[in-house]
Amino acid sequence: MSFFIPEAFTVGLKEGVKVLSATLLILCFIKDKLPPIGRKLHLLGLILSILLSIVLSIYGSIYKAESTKFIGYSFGLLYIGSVMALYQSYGLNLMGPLRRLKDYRLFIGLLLLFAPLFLFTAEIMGSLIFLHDLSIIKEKSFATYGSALGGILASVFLYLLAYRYVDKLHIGSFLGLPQLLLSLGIIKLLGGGVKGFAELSLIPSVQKGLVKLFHDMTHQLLIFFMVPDHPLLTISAWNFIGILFGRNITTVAALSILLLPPLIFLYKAFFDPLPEFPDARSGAEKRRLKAEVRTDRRRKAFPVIIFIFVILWGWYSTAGERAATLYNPKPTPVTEDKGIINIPLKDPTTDLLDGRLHKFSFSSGEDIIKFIVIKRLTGTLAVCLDACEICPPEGYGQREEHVICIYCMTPIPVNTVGEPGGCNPIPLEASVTERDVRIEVVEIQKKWQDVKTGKTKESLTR
Amino acid sequence: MKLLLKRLLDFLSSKELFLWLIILWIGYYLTAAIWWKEAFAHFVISLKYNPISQGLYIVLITGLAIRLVRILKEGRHQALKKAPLLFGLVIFLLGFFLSAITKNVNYVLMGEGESYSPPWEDYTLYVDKVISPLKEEYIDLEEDKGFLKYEPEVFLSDGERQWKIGPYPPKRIGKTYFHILDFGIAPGVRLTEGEKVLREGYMALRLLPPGRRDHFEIEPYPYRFYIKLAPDKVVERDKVKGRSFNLKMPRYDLKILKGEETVAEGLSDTKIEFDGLGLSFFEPAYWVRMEVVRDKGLPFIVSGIILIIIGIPLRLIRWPLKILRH
Repeated sequence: MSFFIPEAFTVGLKEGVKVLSATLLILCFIKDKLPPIGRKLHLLGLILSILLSIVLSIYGSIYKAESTKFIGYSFGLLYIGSVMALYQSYGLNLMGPLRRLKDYRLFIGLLLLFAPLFLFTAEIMGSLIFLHDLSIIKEKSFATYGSALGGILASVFLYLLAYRYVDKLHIGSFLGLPQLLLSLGIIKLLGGGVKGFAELSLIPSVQKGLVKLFHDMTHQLLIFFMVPDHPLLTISAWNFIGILFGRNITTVAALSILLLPPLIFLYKAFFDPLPEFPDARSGAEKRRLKAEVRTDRRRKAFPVIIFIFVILWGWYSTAGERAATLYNPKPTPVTEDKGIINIPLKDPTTDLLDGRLHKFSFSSGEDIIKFIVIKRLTGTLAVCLDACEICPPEGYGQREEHVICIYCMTPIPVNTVGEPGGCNPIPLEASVTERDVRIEVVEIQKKWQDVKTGKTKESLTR
Repeated sequence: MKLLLKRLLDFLSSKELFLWLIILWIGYYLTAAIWWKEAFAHFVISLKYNPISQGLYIVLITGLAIRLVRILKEGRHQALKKAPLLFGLVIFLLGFFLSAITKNVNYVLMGEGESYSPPWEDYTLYVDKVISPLKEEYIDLEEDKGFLKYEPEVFLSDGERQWKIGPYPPKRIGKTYFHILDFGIAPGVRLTEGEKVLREGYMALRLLPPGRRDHFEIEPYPYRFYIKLAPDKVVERDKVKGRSFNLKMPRYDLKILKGEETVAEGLSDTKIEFDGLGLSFFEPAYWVRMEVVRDKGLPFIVSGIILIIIGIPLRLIRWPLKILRH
């Protein structure tokens, strides 16, 4: 079985499980709060979301990057909303006069109608675009979409199975508004990726965002204290600064930022004093009421505990992935000399024979053309454009023994770099001497022109 | 009126307002980080120029300050427990704000004999000496050990007193902080026509680490001079060949272009002749790039951080203080 079929199936399954489990949670939450109209509004919202996603994926695929951004953004908003709801549930009046809105069924109804649009549209759109790109690359539309549909049907089956046990487990009793929002956040976090196997969850993006926040704050402190951002300091001072930007400290700091509000909530849930119930008729009734409050607090704390465990598991289970993250070096500008670009094999800052991906950029008129050089496992050098014949020219990164197309995340074994076709980078004719690599400017310009005008496939098959 | 004022103070010092301001900031940061990328820098700039950001920030500080005053009125134990952290936070936020709106930064390239006067000060400083920290010999096989023996230093004086300034910590002179941000070699360059010297001086160039190429031009001549440090000799360690550079009396690898055409290239051991002109080199000088900062918020930031560090454990300790009270 080809690799892409399980990938398409997994994407379909993931999206189906995501949408249906979120739906199950919302229905459990509104079960006793709203008449059946609430369910119908939610179902209508779901259908609208799916339709909108399909339309956007066909006509708005240029907005793919924006949809990916919106997925991360919506997780952030969900998380902020859940923290606000947590504090609201502990007596803080964050809503002010707007807190009466929760009693208005029209408002709740509109929320149920539009919530699926907010929760699912961007992700379904992103996954549809991914499947479309996958079907083009593999030239097997029926198999790709068929596998994805299989995954969706499997998720529907799982949903119907789970639905039978929802009442028995009294899931609704675990869910206040904060717990619902946190649970929806977990679902988004675990299944929010839209790049197939390359990125199933949102965890790497959330990690990156929080690590950047910590780095930015640390960097700002260094600016305040006028610490030079240059290795003129003694090694010990520079190493101390390096600790602050090291992986362990930033990982723990980023995790702390994310987990602080739920941990404060848990602390309050388990250690805050219980209300006294001065109107209770007897000591026994007082004790009963207190026990009810204690039980309710612990029930409501359960989804928060799950959230914390999911974050911890996801954070450290992607540690291995982080160790092999995409290496995407900044291109080194080069100039030409009598129509030839000469790149030394080895100089104080670069060694083309080190097995790593090397990128260079060359200004040709208004274009900046990027190309790559990498040593294959056989010891020979491959020289290619930093673009392939199929995808938009976003370039390549390196992950261990593969070169990865940044647009479609297709891994290409290093040994095959230099061979034309598919998602491989477009090879350039270059001569390699004992001292340097020489590429004719005309060759680069011609191949780049073909990429720009979409003629690449034609020229390479001649 | 008194009631109105009390309500206003209660509102400003309320937990709800504080949380809302934090949540608004998180929402702003999230939006900026996802859609505009450089979110924190964006925030600092908005604090400097955007009246809405400034207004909300002042509301935050005011609210915390009111809470601080109320805590101090609660009693000695409560004050000891809660006040240092809150006070530190207020001071830190105030310092951050002052720094964002009043900070002046200049970057100055200086060599020996030059002078500089910060625009906000009434003194002039002269560069008495630049101490070169370069190793005499640099071998590229030892790249990981760097090319510096120690940190660079520069001696500044105002005619009466002298100050020694390095990369860190910055030195305060008057209201201004000075420190070295960068260091480099300024080759001594002489352009001649026959025996006549047309131009002579030092060119502040980025030639470090050795191998890095920079270029310069000499007005009004239509030439571009590409230059990099050239190795003295080849060394061999464990059968691996490397290059050795003399950083005290460096050799240069030169390429001279007129338009797109190369008119001359060679090493600086001898004068390089081109189009009837000659280029030669003499002993280099050194340049430093200084960061010159006036920051009214810095003392507040430092004090705030110290108070926060003291205040956190005091805030967290609960049981021992209850025991002490009883």
